[in-house]
Formats: sequence, C-alpha cells, structure tokens
Amino acid sequence: MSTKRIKVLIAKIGLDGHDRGAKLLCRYLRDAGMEVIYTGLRQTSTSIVRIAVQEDVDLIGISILSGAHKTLIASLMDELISNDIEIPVIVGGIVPEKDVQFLMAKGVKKIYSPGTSLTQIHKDIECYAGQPTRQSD
Amino acid sequence: MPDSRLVNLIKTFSTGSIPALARLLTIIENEPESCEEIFGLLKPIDHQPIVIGITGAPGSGKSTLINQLLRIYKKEFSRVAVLAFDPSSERSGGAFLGDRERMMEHAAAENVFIRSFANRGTLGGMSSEVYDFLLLLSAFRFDLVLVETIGVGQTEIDIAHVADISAVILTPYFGDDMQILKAGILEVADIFVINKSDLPGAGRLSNRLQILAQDSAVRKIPIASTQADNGSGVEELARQLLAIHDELAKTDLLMNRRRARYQKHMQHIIHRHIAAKISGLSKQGIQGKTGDSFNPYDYSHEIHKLMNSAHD
Repeated sequence: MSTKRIKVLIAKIGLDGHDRGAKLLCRYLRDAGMEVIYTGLRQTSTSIVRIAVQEDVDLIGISILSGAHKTLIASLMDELISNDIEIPVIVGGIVPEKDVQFLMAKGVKKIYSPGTSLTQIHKDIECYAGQPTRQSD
Repeated sequence: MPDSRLVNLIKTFSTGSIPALARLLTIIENEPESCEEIFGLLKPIDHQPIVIGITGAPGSGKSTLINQLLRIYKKEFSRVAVLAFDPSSERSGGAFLGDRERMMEHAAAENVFIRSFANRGTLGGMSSEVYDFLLLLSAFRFDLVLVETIGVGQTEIDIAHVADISAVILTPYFGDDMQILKAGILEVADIFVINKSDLPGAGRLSNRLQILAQDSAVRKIPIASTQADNGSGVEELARQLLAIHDELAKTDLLMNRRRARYQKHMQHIIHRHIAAKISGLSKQGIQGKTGDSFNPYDYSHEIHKLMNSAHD
C-alpha cells in the first residue's frame, strides 16, 4: 500500500537551454525510488516556488549553467523566505568557487560542480529531504 | 483524541490556503488512514466540481491537450484543478512525473492548481486515493477538475467511475476495425478526441469510430479532432465537453454517475479497513510452511475468524 516516498522538483531557471544533466539526474533519482518532477526549461523563480508548493515536494534541485546563478538563485531563495516556505534547495551546474559562499549564505544546502557522482547527490537528497524543515509537520 | 496537526491544517485549509491543500493531499496519499479524521473535520462538503476525465495511450497528447484546455477554462471558471497521474516503477517504486512540464505556462496562474501523482502500483489508471483527492478538491470548492490518467491500454477504465464525463484521446495510428470493436477503454468515452489530426490516417480513424458513435443505443458519442501542439480544434473541444456535461445534468444521468462514484469510494474505504485489519495474515499463514505441504486454504478458518471480528 501507500508509503511515503521522497518527492523532488528538478528545475531549470532562467535563460539556459541545456538540460541533459537535469534529465539524467531525474532518471537516476527515479531509479533510486524517488518521485521526480521536472519543470522543463526557462522557468522563473515565481513559477518554481508555486510548483514546489502545489506539489508539496521535499526538495528543490536547481540546474543552472548560464552564469546568472547569483541573481536568479538569490531571487528564488528570497521568494521562498518571503512566502515562509522551508523546502531545502540544492544547486548543480557551473558555479565558480568565488560565488559558492554567497549562495550558501542565501540558504542553498549544497552546490554541485561538473564531475559530481550521481550517487553522492542521491545520498545528500535522502539526507536533506528527511530533515524536518517544515513547521507544520 | 484529535490530531492537532490535522486540526490546524484544516483550519488553514478552510481559509483557502494552497499550501494547506497541498499538504493535505500529501497526507492522504501517504497516510490514507488519516482520511477518516480529515473528512470528519471537513464536514459538511456541499459543493461539487465538474469533473472531466482525460484518458488515452502514452504519448497521445493528454497533457498537452489539458494545457490548451486550461487556457480557455481558467478564464471561464474561478478555480480549476488538474490531477495528473503517471506510473510508478515496478522495480524501484520511483516515478518520473512528466505531465506538468506540458502545462508550465499556467504555473503562475492564481486560479489554477496542478498536482502530479504516481499511481504507486494501483491498476486502473490512477492511484487508489483518487476518490479522496477529489473529495478534498470539492471541499476546497474548485469549479472544475481535470483528471489525467496514466497512459492507458485497453483495460484501465477506472476514470469512468471517477469523472463525471470522460474524453478518450486517440491518435491516427490507433488501429483497424478490429481494435474499434474491442471492449474496454473505448466503451467509457463520452467523446472521442482524435489528436494529432494532421497526421495521415486521421480521416480513416474518424470513419471507423462512426461505428461506435452512431450505433450506441444509449447516446451519440461525438468525435472531435484536435492538434494539441498548436491548439487547433481545442476551443471546440472545450465547448463540447461542457455541453456534454450540461446535457447529463439535465437528466438523472449525472446524478447516477456521481452516486456510482460515491459507491466506489465507499467500497474503497471498506477495502482499506479490511486490509488494515488483516494485513500480515498472509505472512502468518506461510510461516513455517514448506512448499511441498502448502495449501493456501489451510488458513481459511483463520481468515473467517478475523473477518468476523472485523464486524466488532
């Protein structure tokens, strides 16, 4: 019968047409027993937050390769906070070392660079998604 | 003792909170035994949305059609919901829920609520809690609910019990007359939709479907032609769906269908109770038995005993 499954939203934010990595991760997490939703390309922070709420996901994974991470992810994190939503966020893509601290300070749990193993991301998601981060629980 | 988490959530839900609605759907999905308490607290539910089922084979264009229908319906109704189902993996239990990706243009719409579910092993085209999801959406006072099944074959026809009316989406390569004559999915259609109607074979399929459309003793089943990718024919389809619903509402048919849905829902609740009561029994039954000496009916007496105690 029904059991709790980890539900994850994988999202592409902003003008960025590359989603092979995001799709690969979707498939890996599906095979790891998670329920995975993918937004498709070119989403806004507002759309991503609304989907995460409607789908009641346990974690948001942002894939970004465009270089606009400082602006776009900051706006996503601000939107989550201003709406009182406590869903853990991880980021994968091209994020230079010098921007990592900035994003972590905004509340991003972890940032993955090219070459990260899928197993590592999977393990981390299990850990973050299991954390009681929401008040209403 | 009332669960204070649920009491608080339902208080928030009653103010029209989307996060509370979303969280209650999760609770129903993961802990269906909470339904008694949730719907006990939500009484009375005195509102009925129009429920339209969208079903058809994988890749026939169900999600893309819903995306197009939402463009029209979100202007006509004050609250529209979509429940979209996709299959769970038999191997891992995981799922890729890909319906909503086709509907992204409505993500920011204030009056559209979209929720994806995995079927979690339930046959029939949706997950086993779909009746409870619908009841919750009724309590939230949605005006219109579109239910998208998983990609179906011939026998996944539960949508006929769940929805007020069902649209069966077909594509030009559907099959010949023999396929048309087979029982199952085609029987539940209130309307046939030939999507991808620009592909060769659409006219032939339409001709073949006439056999069903005209010979139906009870009602005439209309055939619509659409191209969901560019929206062609969708406005006509949107209008036809509501017209079919209106027609049913003028007779006893709509009420009869809804009564049948409540009955299915009640059966489901009864099964859930019995399953909870006797879960583990089959495991007990095979404990210590070896393959050679095993007869499943040896355990009938125990099953009867437990079933009788279920009346207490």
